[in-house]
Amino acid sequence: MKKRFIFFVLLAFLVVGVFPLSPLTPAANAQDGIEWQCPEDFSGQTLNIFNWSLYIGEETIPTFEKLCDVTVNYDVYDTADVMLTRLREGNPGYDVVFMSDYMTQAMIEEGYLEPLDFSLLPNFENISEQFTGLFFDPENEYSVPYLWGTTALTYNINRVDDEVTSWADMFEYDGPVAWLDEPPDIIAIGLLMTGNPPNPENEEQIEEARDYLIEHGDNVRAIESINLIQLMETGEVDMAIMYSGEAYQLIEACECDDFEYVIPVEGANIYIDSVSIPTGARNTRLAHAFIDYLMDPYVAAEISNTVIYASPNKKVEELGLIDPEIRENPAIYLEPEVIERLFFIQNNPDLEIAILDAWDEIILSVGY
Amino acid sequence: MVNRHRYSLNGFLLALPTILWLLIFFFAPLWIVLQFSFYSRGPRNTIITDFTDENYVYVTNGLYWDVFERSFEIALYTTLICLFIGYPVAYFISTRRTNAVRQISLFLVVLPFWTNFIVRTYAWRLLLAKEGIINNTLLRLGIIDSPIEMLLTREAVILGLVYGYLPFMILPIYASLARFNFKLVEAGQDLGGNDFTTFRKVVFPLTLPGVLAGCILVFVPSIGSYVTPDMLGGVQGRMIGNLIARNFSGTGHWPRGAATSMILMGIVTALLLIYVIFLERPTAPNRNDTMKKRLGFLQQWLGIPYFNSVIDPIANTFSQVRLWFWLPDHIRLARDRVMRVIGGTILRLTVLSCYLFLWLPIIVLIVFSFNDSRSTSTWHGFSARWYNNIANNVVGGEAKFSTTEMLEAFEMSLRIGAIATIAATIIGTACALSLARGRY
Repeated sequence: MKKRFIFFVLLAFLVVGVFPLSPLTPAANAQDGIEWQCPEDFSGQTLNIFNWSLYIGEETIPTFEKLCDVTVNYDVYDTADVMLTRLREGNPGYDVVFMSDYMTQAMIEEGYLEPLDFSLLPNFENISEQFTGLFFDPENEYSVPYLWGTTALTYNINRVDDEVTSWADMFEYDGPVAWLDEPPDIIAIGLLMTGNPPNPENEEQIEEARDYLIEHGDNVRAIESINLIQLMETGEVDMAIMYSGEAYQLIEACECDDFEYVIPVEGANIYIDSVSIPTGARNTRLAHAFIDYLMDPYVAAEISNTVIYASPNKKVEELGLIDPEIRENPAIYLEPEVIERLFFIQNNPDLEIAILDAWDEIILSVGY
Repeated sequence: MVNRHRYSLNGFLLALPTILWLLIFFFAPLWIVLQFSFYSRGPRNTIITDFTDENYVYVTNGLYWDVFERSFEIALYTTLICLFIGYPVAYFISTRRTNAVRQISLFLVVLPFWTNFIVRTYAWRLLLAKEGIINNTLLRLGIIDSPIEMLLTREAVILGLVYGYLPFMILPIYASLARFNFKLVEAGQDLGGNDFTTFRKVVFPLTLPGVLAGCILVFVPSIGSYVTPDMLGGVQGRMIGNLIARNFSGTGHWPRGAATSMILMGIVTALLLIYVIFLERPTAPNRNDTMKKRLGFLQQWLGIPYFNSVIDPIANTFSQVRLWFWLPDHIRLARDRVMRVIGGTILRLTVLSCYLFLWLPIIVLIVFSFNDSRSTSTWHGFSARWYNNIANNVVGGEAKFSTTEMLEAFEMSLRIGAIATIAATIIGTACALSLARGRY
């Protein structure tokens, strides 16, 4: 990294010397109107955060640092396994972790999360009742919902001739596709295709899904997590299994009509991601302050508008802070008939190894 | 006698920091990895510490072994391509007349190396993509009708590795050639050898140590590489390093990852042992005898015929064949002159394309840092706004991190770099002194 920085800094100085500086135009601040105030004096303290990559607003962290006069160390992960493994090895010092429903469920069962002190989270009342008391945290003791979305199919309408409506279309497609590197998500699709429930009940079902995926995986060119947007953007693959937010980030960034996000007829995974405090967190008071800050409608809206995921914050709705384009998109704020097709992935400790082993075989057997 | 004791004690004391360092930071972790490779995995990333060889059985069979074979192939091709590009370039540099030109040519090989490896590999992603710079250029020029699939292939990985490790081949060969006395070439020609024979019989054998060192320096990191196949390989180009990383940080199957690492280390160690015992030039006075003895041993036990015993009969046959085409002297001289011009042109073209190859990604990075858009494949006009963002300390919006943060990171890098340099110099100098002056 060192050389990269020397290189950039030297170049920066060079350019500063050569080009007249353009006057600093104040960036339009989406967080104008933010009323949240730091509840106590945390000056000089540090907060360590662990989140999915590409999963926060652009101003979220700098604004929080300013409001509370603290330093935030922001660390990211690309796949669920990395997060689960990291916490199971022993919390290396994170104060706040973000994770998806079944991961929260597993971490609660295994005792890796601290119960939250809701007296320190006055903004919790902003969260819609629809999103509290769900299967992964039935009593709502350990987690606060952050964003929600789906895992489905994105395709390039210029390259794929027929309209894509189903997973079968992808498996039969004669051209390069990419899969998300997330074992339970993709195996769930294999399970659907073989007529099994998306949450497997035994190892035979997993084996059936594995065999289906290997047999229909000839058109797979990449199995990745963070690079999917770029692979679609540069035309490397024509179709990809993607998170809804990433798909819409791709659509927004390209400023074109090339891409379409589809929730296949067979069904797709819906997830609710939430924020928790892991056991062994050093600064739980500041962690609570941060979680409360995330539930401020203006903060939540900026995040939602940046990463293009739906927000479980009802205050955001009432104040109409979501970009209309996002709010009115039926594939983000889903219609009831679409929701019927969706399923949650559930934590099943007895089958976790079988899924990972099947995945190991799948990723080494697909492709051409 | 007293003197000798003092020497050996001093030698030991000087080597002590290195020995401790290796014990703590190399052998201890290695021991732990070895232990893990015989354990098995329980539910929820737990480790079951009962002895089992299931990981080795799994890794040496089926899918994992295929990836081992693939990695070996990729590393082998990388090494051969590096050799075929690297030797001419090293030859070209070492035969420049003035020292200044030699230094500059060498500097131009090393300079791209001072940029971060990941950034340079990323530049190849931009170049090789289906709607990337190379495909777009070829399409616009009408050379191809539809884009070529280059990224996410095994070939892309080989290209990335050749790019990354080419200087490791050029530098040792250059070092050999720089020591080489070119008067020996004249001697070879006086004895009737043409350019090719002189090269084969004189230049190449005498620079063989540099070639072998270069091959080792390219092959070893190539076979275990992780970043390049991760960024350029996709499903086809996955290498053993990716599987090891996946087992440790991803699926959390430490025992399997440990067994995979141990086998990879075993392969690399075996190759290095072959090199050290049989191929490295011994420094003993009766060098030739030692070499012959070792090579005889190698031939006998591994059934590998020595280089010359394969090449010589073939070359001799060819030289006899040549007698059939007897040519008058003036025609022969003219032919040699033409061949020399052609050879020289090929050499210059190889060198030129090698420099282009080394500099292309860097140029792409510099050019696109002035692009008036986030796009890294199409040009949207000149702009210095990315630099302005840095200069004006913009946070949020377009700038992912502020200049203050960047300067902090820069300061941290400098500090770590300085500490590492000082520590390495102290420990390394002590060890080098001990090796050179101590008596064992």
